Amino acid sequence: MLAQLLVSSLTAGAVYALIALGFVLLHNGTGVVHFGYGDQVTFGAYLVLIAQNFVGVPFSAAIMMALLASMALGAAIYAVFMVPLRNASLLARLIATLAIGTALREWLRAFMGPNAWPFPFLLSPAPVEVGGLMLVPANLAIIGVVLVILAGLYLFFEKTLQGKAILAACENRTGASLIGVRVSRVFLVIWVVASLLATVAGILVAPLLTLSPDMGLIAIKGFTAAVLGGFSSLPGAVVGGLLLGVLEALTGAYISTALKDMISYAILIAVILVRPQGLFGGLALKKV
Amino acid sequence: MLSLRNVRAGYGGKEVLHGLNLAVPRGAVVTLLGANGAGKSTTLNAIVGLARCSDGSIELDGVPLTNGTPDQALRRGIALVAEQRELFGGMSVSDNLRLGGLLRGRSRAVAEDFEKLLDTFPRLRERLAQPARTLSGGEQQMLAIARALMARPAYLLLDEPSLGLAPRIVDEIFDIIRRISGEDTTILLVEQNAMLALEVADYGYVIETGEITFEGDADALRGSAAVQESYL
Repeated sequence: MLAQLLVSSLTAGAVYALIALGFVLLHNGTGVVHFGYGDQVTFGAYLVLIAQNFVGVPFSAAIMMALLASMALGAAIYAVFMVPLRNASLLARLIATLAIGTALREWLRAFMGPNAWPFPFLLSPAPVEVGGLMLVPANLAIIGVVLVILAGLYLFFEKTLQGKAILAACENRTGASLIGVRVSRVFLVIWVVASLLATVAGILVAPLLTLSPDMGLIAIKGFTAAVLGGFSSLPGAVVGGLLLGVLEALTGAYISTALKDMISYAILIAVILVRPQGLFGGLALKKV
Repeated sequence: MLSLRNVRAGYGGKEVLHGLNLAVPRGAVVTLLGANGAGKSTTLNAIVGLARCSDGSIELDGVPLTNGTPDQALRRGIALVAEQRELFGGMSVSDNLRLGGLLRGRSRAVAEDFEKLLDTFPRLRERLAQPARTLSGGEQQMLAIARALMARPAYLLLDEPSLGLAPRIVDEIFDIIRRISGEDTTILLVEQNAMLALEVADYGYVIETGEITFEGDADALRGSAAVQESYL
């Protein structure tokens, strides 16, 4: 029972980890918590639907188009909002992210309707029994995709100089500029990558939930995962995501399914009260 | 030749340099002396684009540099070791150094320079895997200099390398500066410790409230009554 529970919880945890990574990347790079990030998750999934239903391409091509379009969206957000606001107050930039999210969400409500759309699974949602555990291929696909992305990001950030240059720019802009990093280009890359992550998360999570304009609320869980991980640590965000998935599943199974969605809010409040630096963010407090 | 002509520069509308003239010929070691707040750091910052230039021109070999960014200056061969050192504190000494060679890509020459610099700064070799923020002040200064040298700059701008360091460490750092200048790197050295600076420099400028008030050979500066009175 417990083993089954842990396996199942990994699916949700993997998606939370992806969203948390997006939050942390943007926050480290630009100092902004992107309050519209959840709406970008939703928008990414809708992009697939739009490509399927209005452009008329098959599912796989629609996914490719959605990924490309979301990269363009990230670049546009950076160029149209974040560049002009780069010297504005933090509050102004936070409100801008909120406005971007609201605009995306309400555009979807206006043009795609307020009702839920069915969204295809990547693989079959029918469970298969393997060694006493019920495994769902669709969920395994989600975990697989997330693992590939995490491995790719890890290799990029830890093993390449270009990746380290991005981390360096997140830590010290002036220092990065002095070693030859074009800091504005780093921010552009961060917005593009974070937008890409949001769309991948949206595509993965849409079949599990229902795809409606308000699906972006799921991002509160990615946000909680990021806070749990310290909000400045990329590995922390991943561990926070997986941990939140497990805690949710345990709560749902052993206490009450009604509490399952509440637990992330409880964790969010508890972490902020007791350990605001998160599980891994020992440095974050000193930096402020 | 790096030249500044009638440069007015500062930060956010507050002018610090009021028409500054200065030239650094290739191969020389030039020092810029002055009291706290005279505009020494601002001069270096204006060269790489960390301070805004509102008037005048900054040129390298006749091609303007005015109001670029530090990464553009580095592409032109000018590296700044800032007063704040601007290291990546959470990253290892090794990563900091390797990032210094970012613009040169991956090549055997970069790997050789990495080893060579560790020979020059043996203390850094002992601390390769440590996060930069755990280093002592002197070691951080060495890392900042070594990181800048990884880019193989033609011009090295040094902002107060002796600041806040123990005399023994300062001697060590100035030995290294002497060695670097012997290796075909042009140096513009900003210092409060005029005595030390004039030991390594060929030529010097004295800056007071944003303007050059005196210039000459190192010997002339050492002999000048005004310099002796104020700075030695």
